[in-house]
Amino acid sequence: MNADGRYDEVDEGATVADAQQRAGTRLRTEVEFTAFYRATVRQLVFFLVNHGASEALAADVAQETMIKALRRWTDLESPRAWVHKVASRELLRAFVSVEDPTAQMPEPTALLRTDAVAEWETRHDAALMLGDLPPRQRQVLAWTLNDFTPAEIAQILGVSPEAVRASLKKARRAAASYYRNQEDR
Amino acid sequence: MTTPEDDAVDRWLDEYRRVGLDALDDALDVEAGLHETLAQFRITATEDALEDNLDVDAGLREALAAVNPAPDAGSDSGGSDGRFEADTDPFASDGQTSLTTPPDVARFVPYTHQPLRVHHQAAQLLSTLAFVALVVWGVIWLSGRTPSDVPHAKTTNVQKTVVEPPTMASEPVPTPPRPPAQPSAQPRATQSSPGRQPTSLDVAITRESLDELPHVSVGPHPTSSDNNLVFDTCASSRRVYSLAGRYTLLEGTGLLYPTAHPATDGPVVFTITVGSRVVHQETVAPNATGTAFKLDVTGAPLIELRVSPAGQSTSCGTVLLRDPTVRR
Repeated sequence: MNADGRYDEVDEGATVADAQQRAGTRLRTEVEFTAFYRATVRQLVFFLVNHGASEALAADVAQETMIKALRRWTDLESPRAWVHKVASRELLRAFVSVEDPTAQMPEPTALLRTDAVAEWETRHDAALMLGDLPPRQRQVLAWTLNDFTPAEIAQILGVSPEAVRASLKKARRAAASYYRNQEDR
Repeated sequence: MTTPEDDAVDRWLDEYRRVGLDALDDALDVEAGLHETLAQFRITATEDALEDNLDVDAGLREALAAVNPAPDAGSDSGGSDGRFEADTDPFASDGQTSLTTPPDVARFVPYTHQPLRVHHQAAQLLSTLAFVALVVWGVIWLSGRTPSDVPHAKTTNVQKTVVEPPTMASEPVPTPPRPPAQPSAQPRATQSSPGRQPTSLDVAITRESLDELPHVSVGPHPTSSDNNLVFDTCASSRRVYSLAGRYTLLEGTGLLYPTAHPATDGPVVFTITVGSRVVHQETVAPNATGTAFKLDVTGAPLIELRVSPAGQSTSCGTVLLRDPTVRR
């Protein structure tokens, strides 16, 4: 504002231009994110369920992760890998956190239909097999089921590709054994 | 090299993936989840934009400068722009402005030059005037603004501000005791005051900016005109119960009508908080409207409308703030 109590026209114009630029950026972000969300969220929930989460928890964590991803969308180089990594960490935190029994119950995410929750294990034998795997093997197999290669998994988890391949080999061996038993029955 | 058993396991796992993803197709409402995510993002983006655009320190300086009377042009007691500047006051001690100079300090000043004496007397006079003006301004600020104080938006006189009271300034400012708030039973006039320019302290909430806050809208009410704010918890994200955030309605008294959503499956608890004080709490049955609650919003630093489920976790509702100061 100048000495006459009026706003400087140049500053006002710059503010409007800034606002328009922000609005344009936000619109582009929302369009890109919408396509990403529709293509990814179902796989992300599947990924979390394969880590041992219930459908409700998986949907909750996936939704939280997607909100985080949208907030930093322009900074993400590989959104798909990012959301999987962040979601798996968030799930781990949820597993180890102690819930406050007096805390207010959070509302369920709109992502999950309230009448659709069922026992995941009843849907396919492989779910039971996954539950019996040691944590690392289960983790590697869950990433693999979501089409990540051993090299990508190794990079994301910060372990060597050999270690990932070894865990995957053991997981597949266990899966084969479980599958054989199912066939024999 | 893959064995037949490897192939069988691959097929088995592929089938599991297909069955699992198909099951999630039924279990997930992707569009609802997407809507929730985007709504949450828009709220955050709008709030961030407001924070970026507001220069509270500059606004405060501007407001303080407005209540400090400027001396006549050509006076030798001021700075280059003709205003008195404490920093250039040769009699101000280190780290003190003229406002904090004791009134009897003049007798300790060795006057050896007549212009210097005039300079000091002028400085003292200005300090006194500035102090009186600041006290008067503070009383006006704390007792609620009158319509003529409100910078006017084009479409509504509801303002959004993140300005703290003057006591939040880095320099100590005398704060008069706050008089009790006077709720106005009648709608206040919403006439604009020509010539009043908005300061950088205030950001007007227009129809356009309201549209960017998906949980707040201007809507009709059966018993009043269409000058209402509607806070819709059903449109907000599941964990965002704080609806009004840093809202400050600069004037007026609103009637709150909490209404539980028709589709909600249990009673809804509406809690209205002003600052850190819960001023109203009520449990409302589904599809019912609760008791109208009168809320004086004049000068309230923070109004939060919280909606909590009672029993069922999917409850939501709306709170309609019937505020005659809101105009389309």
